[in-house]
Parts: sequence; C-alpha cells; structure tokens
Amino acid sequence: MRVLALIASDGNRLPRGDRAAAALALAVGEGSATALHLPDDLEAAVYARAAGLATAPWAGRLAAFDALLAGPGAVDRLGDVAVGGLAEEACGSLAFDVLSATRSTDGWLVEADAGRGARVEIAVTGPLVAVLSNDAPRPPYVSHWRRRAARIHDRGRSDAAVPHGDGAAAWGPIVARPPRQASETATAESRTNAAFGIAESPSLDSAVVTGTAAECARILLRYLIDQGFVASAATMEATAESTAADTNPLAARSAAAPAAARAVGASPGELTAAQARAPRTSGDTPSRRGRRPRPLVPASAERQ
Amino acid sequence: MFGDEGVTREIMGNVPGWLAAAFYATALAALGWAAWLFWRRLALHRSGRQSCAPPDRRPQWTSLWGYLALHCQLRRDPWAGWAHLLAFYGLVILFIGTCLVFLEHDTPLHFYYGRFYQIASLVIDLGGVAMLAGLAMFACRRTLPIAGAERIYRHWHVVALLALLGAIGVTGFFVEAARIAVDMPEFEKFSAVGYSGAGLLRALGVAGQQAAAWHRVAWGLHAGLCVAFFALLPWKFFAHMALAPVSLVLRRRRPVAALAAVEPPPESGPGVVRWSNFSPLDLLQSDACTTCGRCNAVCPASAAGRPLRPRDVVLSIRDAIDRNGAGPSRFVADDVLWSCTTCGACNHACPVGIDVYDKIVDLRRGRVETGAAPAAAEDAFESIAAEFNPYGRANADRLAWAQGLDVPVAAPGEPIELLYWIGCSGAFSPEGQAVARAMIKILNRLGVDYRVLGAAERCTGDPARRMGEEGLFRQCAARNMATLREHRVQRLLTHCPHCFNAVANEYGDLRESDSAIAGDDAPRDPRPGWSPPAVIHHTEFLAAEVAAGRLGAAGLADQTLTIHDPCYLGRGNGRIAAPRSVASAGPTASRTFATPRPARQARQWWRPPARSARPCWTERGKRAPATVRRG
Ligand code: SF4
Ligand code: SF4
Repeated sequence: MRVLALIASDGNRLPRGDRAAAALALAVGEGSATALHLPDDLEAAVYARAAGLATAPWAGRLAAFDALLAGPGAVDRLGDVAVGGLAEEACGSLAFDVLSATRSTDGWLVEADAGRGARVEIAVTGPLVAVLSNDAPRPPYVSHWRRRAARIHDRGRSDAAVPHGDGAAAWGPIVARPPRQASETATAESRTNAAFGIAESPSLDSAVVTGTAAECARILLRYLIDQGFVASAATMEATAESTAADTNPLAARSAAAPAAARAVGASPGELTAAQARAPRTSGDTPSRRGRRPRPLVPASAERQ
Repeated sequence: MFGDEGVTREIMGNVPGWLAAAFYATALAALGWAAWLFWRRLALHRSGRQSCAPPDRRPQWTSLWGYLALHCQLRRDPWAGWAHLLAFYGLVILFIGTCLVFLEHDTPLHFYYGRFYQIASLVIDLGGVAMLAGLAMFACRRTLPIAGAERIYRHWHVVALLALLGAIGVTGFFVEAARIAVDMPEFEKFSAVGYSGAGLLRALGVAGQQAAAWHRVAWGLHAGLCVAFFALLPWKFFAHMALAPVSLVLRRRRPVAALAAVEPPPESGPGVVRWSNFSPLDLLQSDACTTCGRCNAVCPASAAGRPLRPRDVVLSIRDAIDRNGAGPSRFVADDVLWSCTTCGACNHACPVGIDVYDKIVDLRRGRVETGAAPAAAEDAFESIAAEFNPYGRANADRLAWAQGLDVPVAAPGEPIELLYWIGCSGAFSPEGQAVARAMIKILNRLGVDYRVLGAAERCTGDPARRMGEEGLFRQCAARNMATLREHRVQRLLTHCPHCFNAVANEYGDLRESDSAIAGDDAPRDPRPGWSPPAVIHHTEFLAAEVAAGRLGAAGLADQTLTIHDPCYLGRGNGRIAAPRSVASAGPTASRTFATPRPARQARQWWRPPARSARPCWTERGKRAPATVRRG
C-alpha cells in the first residue's frame, strides 16, 4: 500500500494537523509511508525523518497512491486546489478537516469534523486524499533528540526514491493561496467545492485552474457525473475515449480507468456507484443536506 | 603481654564438635550464598546503560566520614538518627568482637586474655546494649506517635530485620550469661550485661551443668540466627547495609540542582524506557535505599496532595530490577512522574546520596522519547522551539517590560563585559518583570557598564530539560552558547536561579558536535580564546556592591522580611549567604526576618488542597505559625 503524507511547516513549527498527517501515514502505511515536504522546508523533512518516515521533496505531481494525507500547513502553502487536483488526478475522494482514517475491507473509513462539534464518518473506496484537521488527535510527540539525530546524521543524505509518476499531470498553486483564516473558517464542503472550482467561494475568483480544453472538459464532466447531472459511465467513457488521442497524460489516465474496470469484470455502474446518486437540492431534508462530504458508497453503508 | 593468661574464656568450649562444624559449614554456605546473590545483583546493575559522557562521579571517600561515621545527615531527624547511630555502632562493635574471637580461635594469634580480654568484653557488651537500644528506639518509632513516624515504611521485611537483629542481640547476651553462670568467675564482671544475666540465672537456680546445657542451646540458636542474617544480607531492605556506603562513596559531586551530562550510546536515545536504561549507579542506588522516607517527608508535591512519593519511585525501580522485564513496562505511573517539581529536596534529604530526582527526569526523558509527553509539556516544548520561550509569546517582545527605562541592548557582535541575562520569567512574567526593572534601575544608578541581549536572548532550555526534552535543551544551550561566544561575554548576571543553574552548571557539558544544532541562523564566531562566562546571581552582585559601600538598603529598615531561598539557588547551588547579607544591609536594629525553615531545607510553599488539614509549610513536623520571627 502506498501512503503519502504531505506536510509543511510555517517556518518554525509544524502545525498539529501536519504532525497528525505524518503520524497517521506512519500508522496506516505499514512501514512504507513517505512524507513529502516542500523542497525548502528542512523543518518538515527533519520532523518526518525523526518520526520514522521516508521523505521526498514535493515536486507537484505524484504516481498512484492509496492515500495522501495532507496537513493543513501544506495545504496552506499549496492551496486547496492542489489537493483537489491530486484527488482528481487519482480518481480519488477528497475530504477536508479529517480527524482520523482507518483501513476498511474495501477502502477507508474517514472521520471528519463537520463543524459545530459534529463529526461524520465517511466510507471511501479507492484512493483517498485527506486534509487533516488541526483538531485531529494529538500525535505522539517527536522529540528534538530524534530531530537532532535526523538533522545531524541525515545531513547530506539523499532523499528516498521520489514517488512521482512520469506521466502524471503537475499540480501546484497557480495563484497565491487564500489566507489561512479564510480556508479554516470555510466548511469542508465549500472548500471541497472550491477546490473543484464549483462554488461561489470568495477565493474562487483568484483560484484559476489552467489546463487544456480537453482537461477542463473532463473535469467539468466528472463533476457533473459525480453530482448526477449527467448519465454516468457511458458519458465518462465516451469523454475519456474522445480525449484518448490527446497527448495530455491526465486524460490518458482517466481513459484507462473504465477500461480497467471492464478488464476485471466490473460493470461501469459498480465502478461509479457514487455517480448514481441523486443531486442534493435545496429541498432536501436537513439531515440529508447535513451529510458532507457525501459518501462515495451506497447510502446503506453510510453511518452518521 | 596483656597480663594473666587465665583471664579469658574457652572459645567454643561448651559447644559440641558437630555443632561447631555445622555452624562453620552453614556460615560459609550462607556467606557464599550472599556473595553469589550480591554478584548476581551487581551483574544486573552492570547491565545498566553506560553513558558516553565523561564520568562526573569520582569516589568520595570523605563523605563516609560525615554521612556514615558521624551520621550528620541522619541526625537531622534526631530520633531516627540516634537510633540508627546506636544500632550501627553496636553492630560494628559486635562484628569486630566476633572477628577477634575468630582470630583467637582459628589462627595462631594469641591475644584474647588478661586486661585486653576484659576491656574487649566490656566494649562488646556495650556494643550489644547500644544495638538493642537503637533497635528499641526504632520499635518505639513504629508504634508510638513520635515525630517522623508518619514516613515509616511499613513493610514486613523491615520488621524482619529489626526482629532478627534484636534476636541476635538478646540470644548473644543469653549465651554469655549462661556461659558465665556455669562457674561465675570474678574477672567476667567486665562483661557487665552477661555477668548480671548470669547472676539472674543463678538466682533462678540455673548453674553448673544446667547452665552449660542452656548455654549449648542458646549458642545453637544464636549461631543459627547469625547464619540467617548472613544469608539475608542481599535481600531487599537488608542490602542497604552493604550498598549504602557504596552509594555514598560514588554519589554525584555536582550541585543538587545540576543534572548530570547525558550522552547515551549512539544507537539509543536519552532517557529510561525500561529499567536497564538506568545507569549502573542508578540501579545500585535503588538497591541502597534504606526506605527511611526522608525524601517523602520533604517532597512538596507529596505535601500538596499529588500522587508522587519519591521513595516509591526508587522502590519501583528496585522492583523492576527484581522482575527483570516481567511486569508493567511503565513501572512508574505517568501522574506520579509528572508531579515532580524538580526541586531537588529529595536528593538533598537522602542520607545515602541517592539521586532521586535525576531518576525521575530520566524516566521523563524516556516518556518524551517514546512520544508520550503530556499535552501541556508538549505545548511548552513547541513554544520553546518556535518562539524561544515557554510562554508562547513573541520573542521580539522580550524587552516590552523595559518601556521608559534606559536599557542598553547589545549590538550584533559587540563584546560584552557584563551581560544582564533577563530570562523568560524576567521578560514575560509580571513578578519577574518587576525584578528586572528594579535591577536595571540599580545597575544604571551604579553606573555599571552592562548590556542586555533583547530579542537575541532565548530560553536557556532549563524547563525543557526538567521536563525530559534533552534534545531541545541541547539545541537551546548550543544556540545560547553561540550567542555568548559571539559577544565574548565575560560575566553573566542573572536573577533567575534556573538560568543561573543551567548556564553555570549544565552548559559546560555541551559537546563540540552540539554546535551543529544551534540553528542555521546561529551566530558563528570561529575566533579562539574565549571561555564560557562566570555566572553571577544578582543577589551575589548586590551583596558585593553592598559590601563595597556602593549600595545601601536604608529603605528596608523597620520591615519584616521573608527570605525565600529558591530551590535552585539555596538548596540547589548552596547560594544562601548573599540574599541574607543584602537583606541585612543598612540599619538592622528593628529588622526581622521570617525564614520558615533552615535555609537549605526550605521547601516550596504550596497551598495544600482546601480539604487537607496540612499546614502550608512545616518545620520539624510542627505546625508552623504564619510568620516565624527571627532577630
Ligand atoms: S525533586 Fe522535589 S518534587 Fe521532585 S520528587 Fe524530589 S522532593 Fe519531590
Ligand atoms: S531514597 Fe533516600 S531518602 Fe528516600 S527513602 Fe530511600 S534512602 Fe530514604
């Protein structure tokens, strides 16, 4: 299993959510987790090494992963759009304000902070991109002696093999990130929507995603499918195939997904179970509207 | 040489050969058994972790004189001290007497007769009386409400030792009395107790062969008890008789407040996670504990109702060695461990030189290294690492308290002869700020050429070290040393006893490699020829100014002053004269001082929980009045 932690310090210290992301990656990664840090962020690299993680500098793109656990410090530096893009790229699920994540038989069980003291538990299949909350349980303390050892003994040591896919699209902050306060006060849902470019978030005006026309169309279609506005797999497949000739590697990757599903005998409908959900409307019951982010499994598996 | 050779006794004269042989055989076996157990125990001690730091514990033979010969430390509690002194010297005399008898009987030497015999008999009898008197005092302490009785360790193996020694003493006198009662020789009057006992036996009609028979039985019983005593020597509380002197000789030479240098082997981190992470000396010390409970009696955390009992910490280590890996891995509970204020009173009170609080800090280090630091400590660590003070305040505000004062801040790289080190409490706590403001006014009034560092000053790392974050302490220390070196500081003046202790006693343990962790922004000054500054506490500085006549204390007249000796200054570093000489300056006719306890025994002033009836502080076990006036 490939588990990645994306962490960053604020110059002096690692926010608690980033430390929690590293600890969670270590716990669920079965000894093979890797921490990604910004190239100039020695503090984060040293912390991750002292915590027992392999490290690699963040270069903006990734090969396939099972879980990417991002800290709020890293998301502050890169912007919400970066994690949104990574989730998009991996055909994975994105969750903000995550408190904990555990492996389930077919994916992940994610506990997220729904605000005002409420918590939601979300069952996720497929890759997970989780942005840890600063209210996540306090991770085990990583002593400065261990950090000192990491600093002294790892000086000049080359980083772990970088888990970057050659063919993956590069994602990164395109414009200056929104102020930390704004991203912290927004709900997880609006941040998710903003990351996908679909909400009237104040930061949306400044968060412009650049890409080829095919890529933008694919993102739009994926959103429409996900929300149930467009009939599911066939359209997806058609879109993927229509863009297959495009040299954009991201599009090629999307095209491969349904094909892979067919190869293992799964129906497109099973592959995109979440896509079959009805869209939420303003007339929904409060409890239905209160589910956020929306679970990507049938409603029966959802636990409130 | 010693007079009439007839003035003696036949050693083992009335003892059957088989009994004597059995005694020798079992005594040898018991001593061999004890030696083997000690050897095994010492092997466990030796399996403790060896530090890579240069040892700071050279043998202190002289401490045997004060501690053991004079019982100075023990006699701070008069009842227990005198009881121990009597029992100790009684046992020593009886041991020497037994050796004399052995030499006379089992070697070609011949000296046990005449005047020597009589004097030796008298002294040995007095030794026996002293031992029994001491044991009786201990027994009274266990049963009567005598001062200090509340800290008694009520465990059956302590009672077993007292009972065994008492039985050895009583049977010894009975053996002597029965032997003398056989024919009542006049010269045996020197064996005062034995002779009196013999008279009593005769009065009861026990004489001649009957007395000889009683003698044989009593001798067998006495010999059996002695053999049992030999065999039990390495067992629990008994072991202190052999190990306490070793602990005293090897005890640390540093001031009480100074923690020893920590340099674990490269493959492991600092601190104790399992018992074998303690140093061999720590392990030996835990076996040397006499369970006297003096550490409990002086512990402020214990007085404040916290679950910490320093003696229990030491005994938990002993139990962990006994179990050798079995049992709970955390042999000291978290709430116990984090209750310690690191005041050092336990170290100071311990009569056998056990460094209790060093062990507590070592256990804390283990917790921190395994990620189990409590949340509050972790927050403080993060603040020290990121904001360079434990208060979590911006370090740029370090001089906010000095508004309106003329404070000379050092320019980068400026050489400083006298540096006033404000400290985090001086910079951020209102009480400390008041002291710093007063000190600045005095320095300016005296026209002293001094500097402060302002925002370049950082936490000394002392709170981190006390809470077990050794790595962070090193980092702070390395950074501060780089700053001091950059300014070529000659003298460092501080009012915080913790800063004083850290820089004066603990920064010297830094290693060359630590400079690598000072931080990338640390000043680098490769110039040779600088040694760490002399550290002066502000009371010493003021006392010197008062003595030189440059400073007076007229404003203190007609006032009652309370001197609180800070743990890290008075007890921890022995600086008790300077505050008193400053407070005594000027007209003293109507000056009174309130000192709740003798200076070095001062304990922290804790308000006990409301439900507790214990006084805020006590002196010699009595409830203290609100203010003790001393002229
Ligand atoms: S250092 Fe002070 S608080 Fe800690 S155990 Fe010793 S006496 Fe108690
Ligand atoms: S540690 Fe020292 S003071 Fe405490 S009980 Fe043991 S011998 Fe006594």
